[in-house]
Amino acid sequence: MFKSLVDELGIKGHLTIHKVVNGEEELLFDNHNIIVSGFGWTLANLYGKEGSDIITDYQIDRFKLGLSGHAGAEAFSATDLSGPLSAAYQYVGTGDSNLDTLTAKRWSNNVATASEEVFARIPFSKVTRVDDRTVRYTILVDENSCNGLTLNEIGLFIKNPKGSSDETSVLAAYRYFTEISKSIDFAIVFRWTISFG
Amino acid sequence: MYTQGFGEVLTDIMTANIAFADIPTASAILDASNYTFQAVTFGKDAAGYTRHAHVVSSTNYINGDSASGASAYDNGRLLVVNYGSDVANGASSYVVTSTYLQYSSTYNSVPNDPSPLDRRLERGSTSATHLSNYQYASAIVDLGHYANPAIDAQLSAIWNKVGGFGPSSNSDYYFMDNTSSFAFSGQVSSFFNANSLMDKDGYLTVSPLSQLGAALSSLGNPTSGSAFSEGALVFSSTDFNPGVGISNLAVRLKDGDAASLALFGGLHHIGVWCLDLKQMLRDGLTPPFSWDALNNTRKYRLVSKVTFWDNLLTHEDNGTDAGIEVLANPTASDFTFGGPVFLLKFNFT
Repeated sequence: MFKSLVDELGIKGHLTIHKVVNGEEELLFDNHNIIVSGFGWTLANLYGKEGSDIITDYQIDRFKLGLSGHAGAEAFSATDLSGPLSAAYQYVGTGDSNLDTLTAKRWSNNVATASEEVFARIPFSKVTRVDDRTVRYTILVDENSCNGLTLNEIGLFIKNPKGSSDETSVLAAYRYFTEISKSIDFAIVFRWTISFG
Repeated sequence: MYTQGFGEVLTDIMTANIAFADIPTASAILDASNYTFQAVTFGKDAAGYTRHAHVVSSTNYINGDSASGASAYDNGRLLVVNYGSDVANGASSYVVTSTYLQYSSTYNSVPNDPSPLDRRLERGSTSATHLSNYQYASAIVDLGHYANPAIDAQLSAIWNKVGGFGPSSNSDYYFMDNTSSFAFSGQVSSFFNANSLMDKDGYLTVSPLSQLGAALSSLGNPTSGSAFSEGALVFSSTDFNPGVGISNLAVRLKDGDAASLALFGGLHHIGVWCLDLKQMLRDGLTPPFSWDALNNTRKYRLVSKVTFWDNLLTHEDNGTDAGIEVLANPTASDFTFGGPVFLLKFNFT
């Protein structure tokens, strides 16, 4: 039998979303997430020796938030969010946001997009080895970020698995969640845990 | 099957500290090759490591003498009793199933079912316990797979009993029939050892030149040496390539390597290993981790294994062609790639 890595190793993701007001956390969402095909595509490039020579290019170091998520978008074949934020100002607004945005191209079904897209960076200090086979990504969207937007999807992206000169990322995990109308009154913390078996 | 070791490697990848890039003496830790497939091992049922050609005879079969064969370990010759010498096409092939049958009451010849929890190919002991009176018996390690004692200074003299790979050139093998009478002899030469591709613990290195982007059919032929002369081979093809989420690893058993494994009871497991980077760093070993078959300091972590009920080296005579001789000394027309090739496909999607 030719089983996939995700099935065979039991790779699972879990996402919790908390609303933070004055330091107090309120749980808004707690559910599994979808590991998408881009994750395996990345590993195939690494283990097929067709990818980058630098291991950090295979790391999840960025994310996107979106506005048009829906259950149907949670597909293994997904390569992007349904309605990703498309401009840096949507992430950082006009205030003193904690988010650090960047632009890069994106792999979609083994083809790089023609133009660059906007991502937000996950600081390495927020990547935690929980145990030998579990990693947690903590994403803080502070009071000054994404305000005025009704967020309902998030995706984690791998940095640049092919080592492309134009940095080109790929979607690794996706989750649609109940709508959150972001305002300056609160921050959001995404805690995304991926277990590799 | 991927094992939990692969999950640990993935976690290492996802948490490798990018700050190493700014430290010249440590930046090599971020080299992607430290996290890719680096070795392949071969194995079989645990009980088989004291059977087949591993057996120390109570009689010195060579020349039919009844003498001190047990203490002489059959004089360094690879010797096997072929209990299937009278089955069809079995006279000049090692019929491993006949050995199973011969000792069915005491020999459990079934390899372990693979488990994602496995850290080695066979969970039971694969140590050559029947060689405990050897002067360097402490050098015999319970690896879970075939060792390569021919390049071990303390074990090379009894490679023919420890198994499973022979010296680099011209070691004698002797076939006995099912009455323990001498049938014929020949010679085996280890391709892996002739090319320094395997360490003493049986880890076959993966070619560092594997970025081929080529179909298997273009990887050379048995007379040119081909890309397999560098070790196990990562390659891609039209149907199975990273673009569709699949990687390939090909392993070839050429010349005496296939024959000696067949005589030692065959092949039921193939294991794929990555470096155990954390263990190596704890041991004070820092990258780059160069390959040296004789003094291999690399530590490995099992990340994938495949197990077969059937012996992958099953063979039989073909007319006047002796099965074991075709494995040991194939002609260009016997195998397209100089020996049996095992193709491992990794589906990552």
